[in-house]
This record gives sequence, C-alpha cells and structure tokens, in this order.
Amino acid sequence: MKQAYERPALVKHQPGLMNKLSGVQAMRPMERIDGVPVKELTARFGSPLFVFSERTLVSRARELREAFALRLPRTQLAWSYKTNYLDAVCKVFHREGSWAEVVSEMELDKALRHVPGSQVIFNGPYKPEGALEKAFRAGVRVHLDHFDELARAEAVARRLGLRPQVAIRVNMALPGTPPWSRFGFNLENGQAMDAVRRLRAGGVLELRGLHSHIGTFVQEVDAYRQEARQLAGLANRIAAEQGVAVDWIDLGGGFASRNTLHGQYLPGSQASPSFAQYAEAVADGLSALQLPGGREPTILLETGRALVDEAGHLLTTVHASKRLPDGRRALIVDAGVNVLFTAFWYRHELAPAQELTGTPEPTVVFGPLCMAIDVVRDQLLFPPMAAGDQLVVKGVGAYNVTQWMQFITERPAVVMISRDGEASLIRRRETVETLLGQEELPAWLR
Amino acid sequence: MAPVSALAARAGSAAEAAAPRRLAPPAFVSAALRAYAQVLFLGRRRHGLLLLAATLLEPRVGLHGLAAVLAAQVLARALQLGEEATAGGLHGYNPLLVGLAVGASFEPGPATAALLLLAVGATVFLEAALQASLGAWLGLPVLSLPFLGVTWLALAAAPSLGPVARAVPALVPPAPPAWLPEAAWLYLRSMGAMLFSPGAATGALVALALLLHSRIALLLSLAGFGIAWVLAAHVFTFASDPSLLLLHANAALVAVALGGVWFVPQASSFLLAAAAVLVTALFTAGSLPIFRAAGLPVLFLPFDLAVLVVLAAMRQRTRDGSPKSVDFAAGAPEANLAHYRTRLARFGPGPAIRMAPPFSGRWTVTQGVDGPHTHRGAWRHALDFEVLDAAGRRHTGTGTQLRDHLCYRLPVLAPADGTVVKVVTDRPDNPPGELATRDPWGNLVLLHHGPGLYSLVAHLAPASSDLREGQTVRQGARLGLCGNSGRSFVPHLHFQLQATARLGAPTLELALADAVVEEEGVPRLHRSLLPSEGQALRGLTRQDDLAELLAFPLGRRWTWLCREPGGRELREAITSEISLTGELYLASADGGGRLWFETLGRQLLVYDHLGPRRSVLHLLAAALPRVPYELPAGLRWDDVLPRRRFRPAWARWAADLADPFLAQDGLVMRYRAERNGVLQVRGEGRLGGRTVETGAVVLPGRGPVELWLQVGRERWSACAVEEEEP
Repeated sequence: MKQAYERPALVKHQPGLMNKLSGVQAMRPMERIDGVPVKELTARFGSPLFVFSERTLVSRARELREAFALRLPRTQLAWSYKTNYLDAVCKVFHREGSWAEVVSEMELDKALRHVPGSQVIFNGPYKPEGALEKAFRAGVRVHLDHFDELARAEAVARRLGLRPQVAIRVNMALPGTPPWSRFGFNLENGQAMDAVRRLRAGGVLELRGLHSHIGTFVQEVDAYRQEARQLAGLANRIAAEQGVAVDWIDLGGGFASRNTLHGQYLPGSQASPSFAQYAEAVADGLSALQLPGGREPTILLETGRALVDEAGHLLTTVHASKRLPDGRRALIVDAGVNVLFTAFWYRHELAPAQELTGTPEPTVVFGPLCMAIDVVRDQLLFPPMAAGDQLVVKGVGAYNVTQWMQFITERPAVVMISRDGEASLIRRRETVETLLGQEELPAWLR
Repeated sequence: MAPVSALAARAGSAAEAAAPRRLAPPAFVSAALRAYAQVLFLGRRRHGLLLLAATLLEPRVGLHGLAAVLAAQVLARALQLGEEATAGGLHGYNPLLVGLAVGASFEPGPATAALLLLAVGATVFLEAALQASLGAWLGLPVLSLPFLGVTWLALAAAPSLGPVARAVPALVPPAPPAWLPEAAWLYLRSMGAMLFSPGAATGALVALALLLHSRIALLLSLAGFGIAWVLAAHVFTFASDPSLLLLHANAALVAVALGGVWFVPQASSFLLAAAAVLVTALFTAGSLPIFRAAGLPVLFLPFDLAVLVVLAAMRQRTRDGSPKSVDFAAGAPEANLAHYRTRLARFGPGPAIRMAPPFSGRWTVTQGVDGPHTHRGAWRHALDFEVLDAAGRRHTGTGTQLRDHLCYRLPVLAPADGTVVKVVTDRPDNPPGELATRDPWGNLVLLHHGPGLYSLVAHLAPASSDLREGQTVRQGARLGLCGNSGRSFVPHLHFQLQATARLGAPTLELALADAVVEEEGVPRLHRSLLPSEGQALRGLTRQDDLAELLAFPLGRRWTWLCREPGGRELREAITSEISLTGELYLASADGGGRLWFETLGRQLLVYDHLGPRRSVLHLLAAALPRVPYELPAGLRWDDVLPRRRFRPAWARWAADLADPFLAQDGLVMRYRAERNGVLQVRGEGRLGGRTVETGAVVLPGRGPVELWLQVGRERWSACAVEEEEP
C-alpha cells in the first residue's frame, strides 16, 4: 500500500508523550457511531452533521432514573427542553417516562404536543399573561419566580375561574457553588416564606410544590445535599405553619456531564460525579423531610445536560490544514462556534473519523467563520490531517441545537441513530429558502 | 374459614346486589325470605320464596314455620341483635326450623302457638349466645345447633305442658308412584324432609330452588344422597322410613355444605364431602338408638356434628391448599369457585396479604429459593438481593470497601403494612469477604403482617433503623439501610416470610406482588412473582397524576350510554360509594350491579363485579381490571377475567357442572397502555376460537369516558355522557 504523503515538520521532543497518561488517547479514531460508519453518515446527510444516539439517550436516562429510584421511590424526571428541544430527542425522553420542563411559551407549545399538561413544569422569569393562561388551562405546573408573577398568575387564574397548582421557586446560598440568586424567592432573607404566606393569603392559587435550581455543571455533590436539606426544611416549615404538605419538590438540574470544562484539570469523565453520587447526596439531604403522616412528595429532576451531552456528536470535515506562525498546526473545519456554541465552555473531545498516522503535534482547530473567535479547540495534540478527513466532536448534545446561530451559513442537518442502528434525519439542513422565507422586501425596494 | 357472620354477610351482599332495587320488598318480608333461603345456604330472596311455597304445600307445617320466622324477626329487632344480621335472615332460619318442627309435631291450637312462641324466643336467645361463643371465639358456624337444642327441649317439655299440645300421629309412608324410580322418590322426600314435610312435591320444589341457586349444590345433594343410599342398602340397616329420610337429608346437606359452601368446589372438596357423608352416616346410625331411648328425634344433629367436626379438623392443616376453604365472602358454590380461581390467577396462591419487593428501584436476586449457600432446609424460602449495574457488576472499584458495593446503604422498605415485632440495630458491618459466624441475621427488622405471617429483612447496616418494637409501618416505609452485618460476606438484603416471631423460624413460601421485570427490553408487570437467581426486578411506584386520573372520587355520579351488540342503546347511571366496612364500589343505580375496586395502592384494582353483561360495570371490569399507577414505556401486564361472565346463560349452567373438575377457567387478557394527553388502555385475549378485545379512554379530570369490549363480532360499548361532581 502506498503511504500517504506527509508534510515534514520539526517536532520538539517531548518525553512526556511516551507516558501512558498523556493526551495521546484523543487520537483513537472513531470510525463509527453506534455501528454506523461516519463516512456513510456524511455521504448521506452532508457535513457538518449532528448525530444523536438513541441508545445513549436511553441508557443515560435509565441510569439516572435507576440511581434515584434505588434511593427515592418517587423520583420523576422532567426533560429540560431548553437543553435540546428537537422533537425526536424529546420523544425519546418522554417514551422513557420523562415529563417536560419548559421556560417559554414556545417550549410550552412544543411540550403540550407530547405530554399532558400535568406532566409539564413551567419555569423561568418571563411568563407573560398569554403563556400563563395557556399553562393554567392545560393544568401545567407553574413555578412562580417573583411577586409580580404571583400577582399576575392570580389575576389570570381569577379571570379563568381556575385554581391552578403552583410551586414557589426558591434560591439559596450554598457553600462551594456560585450564587444563583437571580431566579425565585430568596430563602435566607425570608422572601420565600413571605411568598408562601402571600400565595396562601391570596387564596387563588394552590401551593403544591417547591423548586430550586442551584446552578449548572455542578460537580460538587454536597451542594445538592445542602439544597435538598434546605428545601426539606422549608417544606417542613410550610407544613407546620401553613398546614400544607407539598406534593412535589423540584431540585432543578445542573448535574455535570462527562465533558471537560475549559481550565479544568482532570478530564470530565473522572471529575464529574456519577448519577449514583448525586442521588445519594439528594436522598441524604431529603431525609430531613418530616411531613405529616410520613407523606413523601414526588422528587422532580430537571436534568438536561448530563443526559444528552454524551449522546450528541458533531461530524465535521477538514477543509484545510495550515501551519501558524507560532509553529502550531491549524485545521480549518466546516463546523464552527456558530453551531458549536458549547466550544466556549467545553474542551470538547475530538476524534478523527479514520485511522491516522503521523506524530501528534500541537494543533488548533478553527471553524469556518471569518471571525477570530471561531475556535473549536485552541490546543490539542493531534496527528496531521488532510483536507477531506473527518473529525468527530464528542459530547455536543446539550444546548448546541437550541443555541446555534444562523450566521453566514445555514444550520446543518441533525440525524438520530435508532437503537437498531438505523440513521434517520430528525432535522433537515436549512437552505437559503429557510432564510428567505422569513424575509419581506418592502414594496419601495422591489 | 367463614364464620357464620361471613356467611350472613355474603348471602346478604350477593342478594342485595343481584336483585334490582326497584323490586326490593319491604325489609320485613325481605328478611323473612332470606331466613328461608338460609336453611339451604341459598342467597336470593326469590329462592327463599320458593322454599316458603314448598313448606306451604303442607299448610300446617308451613304456617307454623312462617309464624316462627315472623316472631323471630320481631324479637330480633326488639332485642337489637344487629340490623345487618337480622336483615340477612340470620336470626330467622333456626326459628324457622323450630317452627316447622313444632308444626310437624303438634296439632294447631292456642297451646301449640304458645309453645311455638316460647320455643322461638329460646331459639333467638340461644342463637345469639352461640354466635358470640362459637362464631367469635372458635370461628365456627352455629349451623342449626340452636334449633336442635330448643326443639329437643320443646318436645321433651310438651307432655308436661298439660293437655294443650297434641302430638300429630306418625305418618304412614305413602307408596311411590309407579313412574318414579324408588331412589328418586326417596331423594325428593328426603329433600322435603329438610323442611319437615317429607312429600315428593315439597322435595321437588326444594330441589328446584337448589338447582336455580347452584347446579353444583344440586349435584352435591344428589351425590350425598347417593352415597347414603348405597350405605343404607349395604352397610347399615335402617328399619324405619323416617330414619332413612333422616339419613339421606343429613347426608345431602353435609355434601352441599362441605363440598361447595365452606370449601371451594373442586374434586378435592368433593372427596372431603364424600368422606364427611360417611361420617354422617355413622353419626346417624350411632345416635339413633341413643335418641330413641330418650324418646327424641335425631333431627339435623348428624349434619351439625359432621360439619363442625370436619371444619375444626381441617382448620388444623398446615396448608390451606386443596380442598381450599372459603376464606372470603362469596356466594353460591359456582361463585365461590369462580372467585377463588380468579383470585388465584390474579393474585397468586400466597396469603391474602401481598408482599411488595422490600426495596425501591431495580435489584437483582443473588440467591433464590433453594439457593446454594444458605437458603436450604427449613430456610429454603428466602431471597437475597443485590444491586447490579448495567454491566452486571455488583460494585465499583475493587469491591474491597463496603462503599464500593452498589447496594450498600440503600433503603430497605416494608413489603406490606405491619407492626414491628423485633428490631436489631447494634451489630457491626463486616468488611467485605468476612462474616460473623455466630450471628446469622445481623441487624434486622421483623414485621408482623397478619395471623401467622411475619416478614424478615436482615443484614442491615448498623444503626440504620430508628423503628421501635410495637410501631406500625405502612407498605413502602423505610425499615433501614442495606448493610453487611451477620452472616453476610458482601452487602446484600435477605428477605423471608415466616409463621412465627421466633428468629430462625422455618420460612414460608413467598412470592412478590406487582414486580416489574424487563423481558427482552419490554417491562412486564408480574402480579405475583417468585424471582429466580439472576433475575432483576423492581416494584411499582405510585404516580399521583395517574392515580388521580384513575380514581373514582366518592360520591361522583356518571351517566353512561351503553350500546349492546344488537344496537340497542340504554342509559345507565353509576355512583361511586363506600360500604360500612370501607369497601369502595361503583353501584349502578338502575341495574343493581356493583363493582368493587381499590385505589389506595400502586394500581387501580377491580376486585369483582355483579350485574348484567350490558352494564357499563361489566365493560369497566373487562377493560380496566387493573391499571398500574406507573406506566413505564411499553409496560405490558396480564390479568385474568372470570370466563363465566362471558358465557351465555345456557352455557353457564352446563359449564357449572364441569368447572369444578377443570384446571382453570380464566380468560387471560394482555394489557398495554398509551398516554399522549389521554390515557388509552387496550387489552386482548382469546375465548375459545374468538378474540376478545377491550379498550378504554381515560381523560384527565374526567376519568374513563369510553369503554368497549369486543368478543368475536359482538361489540359492547359505553361512553360517559354526563357527570356530577361529588
């Protein structure tokens, strides 16, 4: 076989490279996703391409559910729509028994197509009257964020002649996590309890639950122990003072996926706690719960990222390979931060989609945008790649297909590989028509 | 075993439910008719009416009987001997027998009337007193003992009452008509003798009532008679006609009582009944000379003795298997059989208290029943559980630390409601690989669930239980945390049932109720499961929103539009009600049907229903016999419907005779649910060559709104047209 031509380069000898702990593992190629060849996927659906693995979605969902079920019989997952609201992805989670957690009217509309209103949680700081009305009519569980919203919700409920079931969202100071006090009523200064009293005094809404969300990518399990304990304490207090035993306690989301953040020393696969560790902390914190008659509220989880990150892959093709003035090799690939928003947070793991030979060397991976910020990975050891070679960006399932930008190019297609290993399109590649369809040319410009 | 009160209750409820409300006669008449029916263990008032007619064929006897029943009713009500029991005819059948006996023995007149009233009064007192002692204390039925005692005393006292009551001269037995075989003639007259009018016409009416009530009962009476007939011909020699009738009447009664009323009618109960008939014959033959010497009739003494002796003896069995005693409130032998079979098929052979898996989440059996390590000998019926991950590993890391083990310190839950009998919490956890040789159980919780039923969870983590002895716990309450104390190498949960509170007591057979097992990727709900080693399972949980969807709020009233296969439509109103003893049921306002259900647990359970096939309750029982309050994707579950309900009336009668000898008669249905906003439950099964399909549509906030049942080409359907909030 003819050896591929490789441009010569001077590489500084690095003794550490021979060490089994070095980053050379990143070079292990990923030629297939759930048995489907990457080449075949890009040939069929184009490049770049998002690929979701149903198998991974299901196994992560079950892992989370089982880890909690072992400790808390009444745990319910509510799929965080904002993390990824592609219909197919939502459907996989709903099939696994997940409810929906939405934070906007658009998401609410989406969710109500899949699950009954009683299985939808409506969060967020912005719920205009129309959204509240829709939610109340459908029996959605609305989590109140501030006093203005409380008053607005009462007005809507009164107008509709309904008695909606709502929860109070609470924020709290937790050691070891950055404050997340923008949302909800503060616990420490008594605002949360005031909100409870105010809600009860209003007599229009029915207090059924408590909610808190302590952050995102929280790797400190103890934070959840504290959160659960604080919420249990609040629930106990509400039961004692108001005679109301809450039916659900929503612990929010924030579990870390197995990705690695920028500036994180250990790789995420080692640093991120397992679902079992989170579950144990939560169960321990909730043991403080003492509701009358030993009642056990349903424990809601709004996990998003940790369930979906791993299931998503971005296939991208090398457009060019060049040498930077500082001696690093640079790859220009056809997917940039316009579709890979998470490149700003994560040190995404990259794998070549084919066997590569050659010595790994410091490499930068740039996207296709004509923008300096378009960096997929700023520093990794990678073997030389040629134009047309393909890369798999791993762990891209969360937020990318909801926060992607339509900037100077169309959004790529999204594919899901079923548990039987069959690839199906779940979102078509956008075209110029997608863009133009929304535009109007005023008469005087025609 | 049914104490006499249960017999009354079941007779009462069955009759109550089966008869349309609009035809309900006044309470007094109703109670009197039930008293007649009770003599032959019948439930319905119309059968009582038939027996009343039978007694009136011999007007003197019949009128005395009727007078006695009415007098007893007045007395029982005046004495406030319990509204239910009185209305159920319980304070009526002994006085009725007394009345019939007095009527048969004495000429009518004021003196006889006085004697009758005295005797009735004594009977009511004696019956109430015996019920309290025999019934409540020994759990045995009173049968006709009060009648026996009082009648003997009355007969003995009659001569000393002076010239007043004149004895009826002994009857000369008439000759049988030529066209009737002698055996049939004797059978009919002995059936009549049960009501003190040994005429063939009376006997024919009695036999007819028995046939209408139960084909099995009639068969049993014939069999009992037949055995006695053979005995009388070849073993004992009964000289007189009255003693022949006595033997045959007692034998037939014993056969009915033991073959189908107190035991579920099956081949084994028939054998028992046959044996009891032999005993009855001995009692009859043995008591005759004794009583003749005393100048008293034997009456139903052989029957009472035989039934009581057999019931008490069978109570001593270690296992209530076959014959199976009727430990539930049902009705006719057919109903007993159908009820028992359905219960067996739906809830398994175990005790009525069902054991849920004693944990939350998915655990795997690491040592099953008759396991290779410690589940042997007297302790063979036990299960060990551990948690395994998706790859089948029981621990992370090396497993040398307790914390590595996935099940370590996971909560252990109460398998059923119970009372804490023993708690041990002070034993240390062994390091993995070591065990405490002198301490088999380690930390444990022993719960008492019911008579002779205890459950044990063992090897718990130290100080992980804050329960106290005597405390009551609900199913699902946390008992402690899984640990590695006692004779345990690696953290695991040991679970067993036992009959006594002693640690180390032999284990009882066990099965887990409502366990979910993944089978080829599809979760399947097992109503009763004895898991084998390596099998992973989890219990059901209760999701409030599903439970709300499938609750029938008390006091709610729905109107349904039901459509029969012929296209006929009719409206039916049903209400959700609760009985005095706390059973929930749906009652059909117009059809008299009832459907008992349960919503407190982790599923909607329909227990049983009565009423016509066109009723919406029939559809409800077929389409939603059980719906878990948790529906993981793709969940499948089976249930068994009584096949009898799906047979036309003529086929039912034919099948009644064959059923006791067949293995089972359930209609196995497979159900699955789909939930997109509305909940749809579909079921399918096969009945003979025909497919059976059911469907239900349940709407949030409204409950079931559409039900259908299709058997072959016949389709019944119903849709809710209006409802009222409670």
